Amino acid sequence: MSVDKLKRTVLGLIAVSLFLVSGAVLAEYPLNLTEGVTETSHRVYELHMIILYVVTVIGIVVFSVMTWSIFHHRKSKGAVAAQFHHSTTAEIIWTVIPILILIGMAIPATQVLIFMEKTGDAEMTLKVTGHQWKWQYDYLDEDITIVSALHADDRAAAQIDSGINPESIDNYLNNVDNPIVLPIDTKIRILTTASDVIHSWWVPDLGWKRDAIPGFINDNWTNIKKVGTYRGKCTELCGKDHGFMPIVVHAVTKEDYAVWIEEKKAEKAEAALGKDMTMAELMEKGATVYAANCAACHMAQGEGAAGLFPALAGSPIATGPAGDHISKVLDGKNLMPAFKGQLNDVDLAAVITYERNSWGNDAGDMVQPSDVKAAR
Amino acid sequence: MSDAAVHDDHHDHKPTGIGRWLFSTNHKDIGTMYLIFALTMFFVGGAMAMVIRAELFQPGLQFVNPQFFNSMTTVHALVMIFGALMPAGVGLANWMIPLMIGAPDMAMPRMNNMSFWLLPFSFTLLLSTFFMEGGAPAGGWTMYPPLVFQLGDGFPFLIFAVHLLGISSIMGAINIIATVFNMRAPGMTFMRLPLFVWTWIITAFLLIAAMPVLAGGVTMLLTDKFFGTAFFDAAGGGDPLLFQHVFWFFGHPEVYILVLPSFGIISQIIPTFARKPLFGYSSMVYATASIAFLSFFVWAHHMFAVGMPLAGELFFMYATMMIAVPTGVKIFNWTATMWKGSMTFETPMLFAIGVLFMFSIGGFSGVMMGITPVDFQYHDTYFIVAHFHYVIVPGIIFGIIGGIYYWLPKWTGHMYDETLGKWHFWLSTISVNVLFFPMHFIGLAGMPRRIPDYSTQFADWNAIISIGGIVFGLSQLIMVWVVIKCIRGGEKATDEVWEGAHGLEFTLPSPPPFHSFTTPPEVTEASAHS
Amino acid sequence: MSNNDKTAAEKELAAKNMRIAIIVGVAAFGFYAAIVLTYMK
Repeated sequence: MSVDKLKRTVLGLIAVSLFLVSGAVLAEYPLNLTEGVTETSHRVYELHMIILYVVTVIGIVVFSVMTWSIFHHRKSKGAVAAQFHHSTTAEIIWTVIPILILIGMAIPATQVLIFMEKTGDAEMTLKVTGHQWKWQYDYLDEDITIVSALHADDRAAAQIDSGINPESIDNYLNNVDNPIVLPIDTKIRILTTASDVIHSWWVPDLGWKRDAIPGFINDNWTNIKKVGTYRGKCTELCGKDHGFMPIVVHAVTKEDYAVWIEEKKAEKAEAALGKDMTMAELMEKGATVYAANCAACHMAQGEGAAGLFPALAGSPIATGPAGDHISKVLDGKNLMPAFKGQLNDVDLAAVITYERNSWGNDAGDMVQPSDVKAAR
Repeated sequence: MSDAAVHDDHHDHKPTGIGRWLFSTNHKDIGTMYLIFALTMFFVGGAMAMVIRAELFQPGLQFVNPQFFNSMTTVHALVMIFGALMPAGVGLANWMIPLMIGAPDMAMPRMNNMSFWLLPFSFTLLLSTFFMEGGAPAGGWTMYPPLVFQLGDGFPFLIFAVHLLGISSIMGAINIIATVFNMRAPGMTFMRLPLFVWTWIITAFLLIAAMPVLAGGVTMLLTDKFFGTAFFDAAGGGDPLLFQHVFWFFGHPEVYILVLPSFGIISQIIPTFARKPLFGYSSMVYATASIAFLSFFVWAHHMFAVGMPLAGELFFMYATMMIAVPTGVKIFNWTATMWKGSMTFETPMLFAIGVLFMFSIGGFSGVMMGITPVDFQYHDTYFIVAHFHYVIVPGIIFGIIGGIYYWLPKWTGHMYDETLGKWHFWLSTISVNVLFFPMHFIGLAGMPRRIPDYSTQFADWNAIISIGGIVFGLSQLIMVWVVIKCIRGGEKATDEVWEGAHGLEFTLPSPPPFHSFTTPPEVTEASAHS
Repeated sequence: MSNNDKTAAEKELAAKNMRIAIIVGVAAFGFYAAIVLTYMK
């Protein structure tokens, strides 16, 4: 531990002992819920603060009575024990008052909950599908699909003995390769579901999280009020890389959103042409796709993990006939997901080529987007 | 009364050697074995917590890979809940219930032996999974499908371990019910029972109602994995959420199974050291029963984020908030017991007061999370980790430790080292707050639970939390030392042990004879509730 | 001690204990069976 770190830790220990009196919010010591950028998140934040104040006041009152008693009714001060052991009046009072306080809290809580559940009349729909360990976003009105996984820089740092200081990466573990873009001032219906195990989609600034469950579609909505980048995480344990599947939302104006949609459509049309690529292009793109989609299990150098995930370096699939390799990636097997719904022909061709010609694998052949298209 | 005890001595012959323990049918010996087993598991689970805190001390991965980290959080929870807390509660029940109600032993001593000896086998099954292909369970102690199906060879071992634990608990509960119903001394009516016995009888009924539900849930997991059923497989017409409903229908009462005995213990301790009768005895009994009853109608507050209909969310929110009322009554009654007492602060009393304060903190965050719309933010963050650790560590474990200090002189015949006991309390109390309080902050600020690595803005809090964790873990070694020292010798304890102690257990010599109350004592209104 | 050594009161107590054990045990097993059978399709 560096001296600097030690110093901050000592400071923190002091901060924790003073937290009630100080109230000072140091940048390194985040303390509270975000207010967020939607009406929902504002209302949730207000409700949170109301309840927090209520329980704090109750706590101060109850703890004061206990503390008073501890200091004044002690034998060493000559206190003689009273022998009362019952008081109907007192017991009625401390049953009724909490009930009234709880009713007081239940009313605003019910109002906020009803507001949050109004999922009707949305202007657009985003379907979010959780996979181990990335998010797939389908813009249902535009026929665009984005697959969003942990950024390769973050993944490289998040390894044992990586030698990369997490502090050197901005928003460590909160970066993705393909962020999603959403328009502001638009009521967006967000559907959550999953392909393998249960995940949970949470962007704190939007004010809620919702589980993504295989076989179910959950209905939610948001309406972002402010342009900005909002980051979130998967919050339901979903296996090995549960901590490594962040969410990044770029909220932009409606005009910028329309521009982005056009770009994405053009990219998609380009990929659909199935144009042949050079070895260099395939290898370069393949490395990126591999880092985002495959490295979590098969590891950065294709070495796999003994007993859990097979190695790709020197594997019979990656060095054997290309057709078998393509169909394995398209359809998946056991824990390995079927990638045909997640990646386009260009990405698939690139990553398969990359796997066949890296880490000592020397199949030497190229897989072209047209080969993948034919195999689908 | 002491005549009866002396009279017992002439046939107070103990079996010797390993057979004394293997084949024991004596409630005291079985109670001791339960407590030793619980203490061992407390340190096994604690060691896993240390691995978790070491990994989380700094951002980045330093020591363990994410899969093993998940095994640590999963098995830490299973070991602590089923290996440490529940056996500690049953151990205290075994030791104290017969002494408190004036019975010679438990109702079914041989079944008592079996329910203990199932535990080591169960935990051997569970812990052996660390050496198997695919590793130890890593899908969370809640065992949610479909994730739990990704466990390798360890899967059936996990299921059978849980089954054995369930059978053990149910047999223990049957024994306690039969003992309290049939073996009370003459005059020991139900409304004269010590509160610890009351909380345990209610706990026993919770066990009978809840454990079979868990067993049913894991049986369905087993048949889904190996016999082609589709209880939880959406593709086969099943419902992955069904497991969560079944699990939490067990899981919420389980929380009270753990906490009620602790409530019972501090209801014994506080009147003793306040030298004043327990305030509102009958309302304590009714509050305990109401908590237990309500616990069957709140399970879905553990799963607000799964997406329930509005009516369901409202129902479970209101039901959850209602639990605050009887829980509040208990806190106020304990406070009223201390009020105008003549208090001294020996170690058991310190731990009981610790429960009062810190369980309340857990209660407050509990009310906050019961409010559905804000729970959509709190759910599955470190806020919930802070909440349930406040309930479990300073709420339940402090209660159990208080009980151990309270009755240790009775068990061993020697007073423990009061100075060391106080060190244990103060170090534990300070470190437990350094350990768990900041978790509220990082949870609110957005750190999800069950992650091996985190974003850098949480780094400083996590370093502090880890330091608190290490100090808390090491502080518990003091307790081991105190107990060993107390067994080996020390100032002789009187029959009454504590100046203000009441109850049948304090009419027996310290230590009590191997066979106590072979002639039942007579209980009168004056000797009960004073 | 063998059963013959037991007094009538002890025998009666043992029978009462056994009765509770059986009732509660059957109830517990009933819950278990009910929960599995309810969801069996």
